[in-house]
Amino acid sequence: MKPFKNPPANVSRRRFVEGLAAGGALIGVGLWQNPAWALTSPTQATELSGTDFALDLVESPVNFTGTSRMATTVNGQIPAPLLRWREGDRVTLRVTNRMSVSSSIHWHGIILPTAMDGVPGLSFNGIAPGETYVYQFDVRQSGTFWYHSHSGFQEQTGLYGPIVIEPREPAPFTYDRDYVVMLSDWTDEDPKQVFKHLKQMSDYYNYVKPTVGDLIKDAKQDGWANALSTRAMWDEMRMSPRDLSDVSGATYTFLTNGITPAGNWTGLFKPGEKIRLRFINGSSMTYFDVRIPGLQMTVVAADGQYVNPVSIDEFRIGVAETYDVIVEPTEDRAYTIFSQALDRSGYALATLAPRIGMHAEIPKLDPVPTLDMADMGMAMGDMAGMDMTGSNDMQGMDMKDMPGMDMSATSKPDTEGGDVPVDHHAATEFGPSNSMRAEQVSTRLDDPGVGLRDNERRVLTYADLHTIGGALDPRNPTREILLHLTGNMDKYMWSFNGVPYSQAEPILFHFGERLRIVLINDTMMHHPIHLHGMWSELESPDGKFQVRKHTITVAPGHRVSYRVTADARGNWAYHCHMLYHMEGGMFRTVVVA
Amino acid sequence: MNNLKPLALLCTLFPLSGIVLAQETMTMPMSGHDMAPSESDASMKNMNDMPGMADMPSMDHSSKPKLPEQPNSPELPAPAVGSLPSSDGSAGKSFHVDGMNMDIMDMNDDPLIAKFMLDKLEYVHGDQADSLVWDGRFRLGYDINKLWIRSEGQRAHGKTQDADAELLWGHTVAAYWDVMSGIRHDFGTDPSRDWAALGIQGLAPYKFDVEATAYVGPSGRTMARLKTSYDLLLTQRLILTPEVDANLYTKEDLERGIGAGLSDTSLGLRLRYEIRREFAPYFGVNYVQKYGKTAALARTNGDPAHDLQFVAGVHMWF
Repeated sequence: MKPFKNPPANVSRRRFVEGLAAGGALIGVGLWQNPAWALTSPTQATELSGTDFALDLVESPVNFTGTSRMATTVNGQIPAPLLRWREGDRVTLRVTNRMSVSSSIHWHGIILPTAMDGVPGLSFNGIAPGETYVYQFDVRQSGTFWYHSHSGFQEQTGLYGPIVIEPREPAPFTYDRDYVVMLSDWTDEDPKQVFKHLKQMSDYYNYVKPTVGDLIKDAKQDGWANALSTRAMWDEMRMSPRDLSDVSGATYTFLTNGITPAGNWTGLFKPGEKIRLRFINGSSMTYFDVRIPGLQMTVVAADGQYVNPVSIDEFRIGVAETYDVIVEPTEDRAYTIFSQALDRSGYALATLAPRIGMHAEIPKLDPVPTLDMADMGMAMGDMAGMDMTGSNDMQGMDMKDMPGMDMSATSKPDTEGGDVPVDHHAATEFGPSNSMRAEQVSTRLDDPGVGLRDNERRVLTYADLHTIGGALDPRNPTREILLHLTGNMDKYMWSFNGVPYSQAEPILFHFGERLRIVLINDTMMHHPIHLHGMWSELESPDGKFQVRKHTITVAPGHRVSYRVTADARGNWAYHCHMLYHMEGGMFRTVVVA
Repeated sequence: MNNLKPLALLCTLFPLSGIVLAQETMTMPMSGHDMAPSESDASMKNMNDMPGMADMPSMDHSSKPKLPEQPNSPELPAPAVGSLPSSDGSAGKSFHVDGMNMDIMDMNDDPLIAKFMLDKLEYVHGDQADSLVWDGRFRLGYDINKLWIRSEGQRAHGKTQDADAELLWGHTVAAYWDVMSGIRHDFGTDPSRDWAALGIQGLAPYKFDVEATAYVGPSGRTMARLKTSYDLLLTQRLILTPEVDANLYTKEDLERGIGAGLSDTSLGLRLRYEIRREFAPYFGVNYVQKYGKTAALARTNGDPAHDLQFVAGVHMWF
């Protein structure tokens, strides 16, 4: 057994959370010059552009917290170099694996032939040590995307980078500056150790569990009877309203463009300029709630696709999603780009400033969110609706007295969605791999989500997103695939329909068909679901086209549906983009044939 | 792929004609799905009404719709969720049929996991001689099937007084419950005993950790043991754990000082501080009560029938 290697024990808590001011930059392997941003300059990551790229996968030492660690990098950098492509070009990427283990690169959200998709085992064998794999494909889209390893836990140890594809036609908006803001999470622990910890104790990294102190606080607010009955209800279900993030700031240092909060990545501007910020959540396990106090953001693209502009104060970005926003700072002062983790266990930080070295105030973390009954797929005022393994006796609970309930989820017209009963659970969901089955789920897309409701900020929701130009394929779906997002939190098992990947058959799409995928989240956690090779076109609750994405977040206790055109033959990965959920079994293969 | 380059150029220049051309000439170099030319003629006809056909490596596929219908047609009302033929999507054949080898991905959703837990390793100060008490678990296995070793006991005067060890196979039957079956061996200063064990272990509603086991001995003795505890979080790291243990016997065992019926209970209250998840020192109290014949036998030996103990120790695992 290895000695305990928990970061907080090795370094001071502050240095661990905020990281080193200058330690995040990579020493590199000697072949490559220091990334420009190591000088805290306003420039982006090393940028590679053109049609031919040579990328070296190398192990490089990094130091984000005071402890030196080996990272999996592209050309010795975290994040990997920004790749700038042009829509319509045919790009060639020679990826050489200079490590001792097999590796791969997956081009996230890029529509390409299956052999170029970079998922080992599905259509290629991965890139063996010493080997060069030539990726070559036509770039048939534009916007903000990213790339990452699809081998083991290499994404966690640093193998991810941004992609910006210049459109052939000018964008439907203008801007003076263009910055990538790539968010990620870094741990000094070996990710295999993280996974082992989760399997040994699923709440290992959860330091926001409800305490006696919380109970007293609730009691002061709602009275002892309410506080105790709420607590008893969660305990009876063997669940926690604070099951927010499996892996948290207890081990993570959160990075913006590979820079720790203490390092404070800075993007320069002149007052009055319009800045395009391309947010990419390249983290392994962290949902971020992003805001720039003092600035309104106008969302202009989601997952690389232009959307009708929408002005907001804050947005939640799921793992693997991308949002492009425009900001227009007019004052001659600094602004903080504040990206707090969903469970408020830490934050990533960056600054927009007219000059280097400026700082703005760092906001306080918001209170830790608490899930309510609606978030767990439980009907309001109908406790009998919840089906719990080993305990069906919910009599005596009076939901009407429960404090903190989100009453907005009661029935609404179809256009807005509302609570709908779940009438089907696959037989496989009743085994030990699944501990919870939602009985009533919300179809609302306009729910900002736990921790963002009623915070007096204008928060982006999926209901705000409308892809310009509409759906790619106007046909209606003719077949529906219903998948429940399932898991056993106690044993850290994850699955679709209660079947973990190792026991699952592929999902079959008939070539050419337009089909609908319906996802029901039976768990208490968010899941960003990513389909490779094809677009996912999210529907509104009444079945209208809403937004085209490559990764669709399903909040706890929610149902979403989206349409897919099976226009890409071959084998594709379909999975939750929470790295440890994917590794834990929330993964399927899609076969288009 | 290189031989498709001129085609790609052509397609780029003339997107529409490119599609037609590609459909007529292509042999589709897709993994495992190459079509024989004879076959492709027939299938290509069908593909004319397949808007999806654009995903060929050589084709222009800008994000603009380029479908047979006018691209920006007003949207057709979609059938409601649940109204279409539905399935769980299962292809009904294994990965290997399509040439997939998921081992390459280095993914293993059910790895072999070991965990060694010393729930208690404590110094006990009571009316009787001070002693050292342990209560430990070792598990090795997968999500559903595990090998368990459980052991508890105490040492005083340099001797192991009253101890047992169990070797069990744990099989998960429900989300929160494992069925435990195996053997138990009692040892210490008293004569040893062997048992066959069958029980359950898991997390009960209200988050009580429960171990309930029934034992059968070779001489027809039977007994049962119930252990339950609850973690009350005062803070994220300061945890108060009330605990109840009880032993029941159907037959008396004079050599081990045990009477029939409920023999003894132990009520514990321990306050631990998790310096880290794996290491938490604690202190607490334990009230041990013996009942009926067991209590009488204890008194005969000059031992008290009940004992209020003060304990201090560590809770650790790795």
